[in-house]
Amino acid sequence: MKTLTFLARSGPHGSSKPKALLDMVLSAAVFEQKINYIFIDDGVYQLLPDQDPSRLAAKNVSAALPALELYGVDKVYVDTDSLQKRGLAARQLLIPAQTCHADEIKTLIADSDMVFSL
Amino acid sequence: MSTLHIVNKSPFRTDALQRCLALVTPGDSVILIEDAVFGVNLPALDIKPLGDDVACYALSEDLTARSLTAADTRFQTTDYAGFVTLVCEHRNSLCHG
Repeated sequence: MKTLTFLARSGPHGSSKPKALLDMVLSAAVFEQKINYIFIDDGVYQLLPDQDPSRLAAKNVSAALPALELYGVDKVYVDTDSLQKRGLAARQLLIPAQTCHADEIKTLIADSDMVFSL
Repeated sequence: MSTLHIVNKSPFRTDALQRCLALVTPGDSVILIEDAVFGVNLPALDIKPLGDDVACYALSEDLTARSLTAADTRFQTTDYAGFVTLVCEHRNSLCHG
């Protein structure tokens, strides 16, 4: 089993990156890899509830995030500094995510076999 | 003659918004679209240099998609149709990507 770390660092609905990364996470989960899913930078906006991109003729990728639990992805982190800079709080997020700081993310990356960033 | 300044990049990823603000003159308007709407309610966003005669807009479609609101901010919301009207009302449109 390998440890894979996924850094979600793009805001939702601006590109296909959030969906591509989520697809990678779920695929890796199916193969029962050890997964860290870290929301950082503009990626923290993916965790806001009540997103409605219907008027952009787009699907709400974040609506699939609660499924992570079903896939056994329980190491979900959110960067505290990124939240703070954007005036967001961890308690208002769509799914429970463990808050962490850059130092902990450095360790997670260092202990990973592969790292993906989108 | 006025210019509509269009910004579409997140203020956290590029300095597009700052570069835009540096070129705004009285009578111009600024509109945030796509990922630029992340800048709408930032405490740190420095739009003070803009006088009262600069109208600031954010595209409602992009706000709603991202679960953001422009309430209690300097920005008014407008939709796609309003965006088209703004483009027509200004002599020039300038994108700051």
